[in-house]
Amino acid sequence: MAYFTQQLINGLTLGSIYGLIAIGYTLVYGIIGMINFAHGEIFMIGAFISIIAFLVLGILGVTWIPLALLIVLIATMILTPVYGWALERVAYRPLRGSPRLAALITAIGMSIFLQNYVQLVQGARIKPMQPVISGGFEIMREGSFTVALSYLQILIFVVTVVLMVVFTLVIARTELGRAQRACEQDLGMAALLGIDVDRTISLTFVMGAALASVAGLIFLINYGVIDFYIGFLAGIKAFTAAVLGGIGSLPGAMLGGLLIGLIESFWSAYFTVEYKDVAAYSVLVLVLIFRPTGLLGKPDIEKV
Amino acid sequence: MSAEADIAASGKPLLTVEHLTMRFGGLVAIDDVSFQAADERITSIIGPNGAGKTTVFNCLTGFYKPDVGRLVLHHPNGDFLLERMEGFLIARNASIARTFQNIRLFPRMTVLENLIVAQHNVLMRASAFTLGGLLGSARYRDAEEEAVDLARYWLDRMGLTDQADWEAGNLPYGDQRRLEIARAMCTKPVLLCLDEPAAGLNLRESAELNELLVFIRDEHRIGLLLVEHDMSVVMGISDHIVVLDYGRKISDGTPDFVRNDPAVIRAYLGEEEDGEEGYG
Repeated sequence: MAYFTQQLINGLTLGSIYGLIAIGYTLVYGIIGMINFAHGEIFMIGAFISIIAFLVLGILGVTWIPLALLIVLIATMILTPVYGWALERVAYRPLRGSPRLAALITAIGMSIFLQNYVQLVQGARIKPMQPVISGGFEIMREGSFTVALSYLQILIFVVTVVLMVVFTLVIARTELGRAQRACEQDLGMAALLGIDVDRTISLTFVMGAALASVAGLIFLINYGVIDFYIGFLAGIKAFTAAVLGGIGSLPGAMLGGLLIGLIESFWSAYFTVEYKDVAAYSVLVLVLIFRPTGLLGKPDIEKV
Repeated sequence: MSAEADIAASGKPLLTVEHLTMRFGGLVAIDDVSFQAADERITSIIGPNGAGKTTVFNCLTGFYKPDVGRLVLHHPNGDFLLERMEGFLIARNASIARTFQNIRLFPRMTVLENLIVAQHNVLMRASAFTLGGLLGSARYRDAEEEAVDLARYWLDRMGLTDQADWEAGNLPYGDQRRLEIARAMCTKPVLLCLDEPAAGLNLRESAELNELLVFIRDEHRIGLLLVEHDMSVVMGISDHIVVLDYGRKISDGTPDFVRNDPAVIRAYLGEEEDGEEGYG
């Protein structure tokens, strides 16, 4: 039971990261129907901007951890979206209205470009960071096995939940969200009502990048090492999560992220670590066979 | 050519189309068409299938960029050259609204939300680009209340109040048509372009439509531009009719003038004489 609980906690932590990235995939897919394969790289850039921000704060002598974390969070949530915005502006907007395949190939190209850009600018070696938050609660003990819930994990849950609630509210309640939902259903008609479609799409990329940057920060402080290549696997996993939950559905992306995180951590715990990715993707395959629209996705009815 | 004089007499011009030409490859969809639509009047564009009516609309609303021609909207804030404007600016700045032959509502939004989203720009400004909406600023709440009031007004007028929370895609066909007009009106247009609003309506519904369009003209005092096949609608309410055939303008004037114009009768009925109830 204790072992199970511990895996549950670990799985949810991992799932939070996937969920935050998956929202970026699902938002962009919802609005322009393309898979932004460079989104994993945005997450990676978010992690890099975070580590740089920590270093700068260290040099400036900001050592009070809560303040430092807050500043880093704000810095990465402001700077990373600049990349998301530029990505859309430079690579995707000129291709709007061209065949889907062109946008897809461009996305893969941008993904490779961003990886190499970071590799060139930051070097190829892994970047380690001291743990910033240590300690936690011992919530259960069974024999010699203790279940730990670290302060860091609590922080991750809280940040994830708060962000998801805020972004759900933005999309459900605010004027921008309304415009996004309108664009999602009919871009041309939205423009005819005076909605600036280009700006709405840009802001969607910005929102997705902001969430991915937080995932990058969480990844950094949770695992303590990053390199220029972390975006690839995390991106693919988050994409899997978005498809699993039903691509285009916001709650689906969160649910899918948590499920992939849980599957991975339980599989590693009870079976083999080596095959955890196989397990995650197998679930994806099963879902796609029996429920092609994902868990919470609505079937896309073709209009005549 | 008595028509030009007629418009001048009956109302100030709202839209001036000059030498509009639109080609698709070798096909000339619109060939040097010029006409005017007056403020607070209903102007209809009619013509047999393939005459280029919808293409005119698509040029007006920024879907197509015309090859040749000037499209000037005489807005209270000044003249706008539509052929140079991006699609969403035509709606936002020149205040032209449009409906479609095949209805284009947002099917997975509620009926009320369809009308709110039409007031996007007002709300966007009031919410300081969304931040105010999130923080619940007073200014945004007032603006939203006003938006809902306007939406309620149109729901009442259309008899859709009870369906306000339905998903728009679930409404019956006739209601969807009226909702689309309501949504266009919620953008507070100066020119409302309706693409076959009577298509698929039964007799009673199309009589109601006539009433609605006249109501919009007289109470909201805006110009209406209509593409329509249903002659009971066109002849019943139009102040001014432009007839296209194979992309060319063949007649232009009051319903009576057009009805008796030999060129129109020829286009619709071949060499018949009596074109009183010509169906396209």
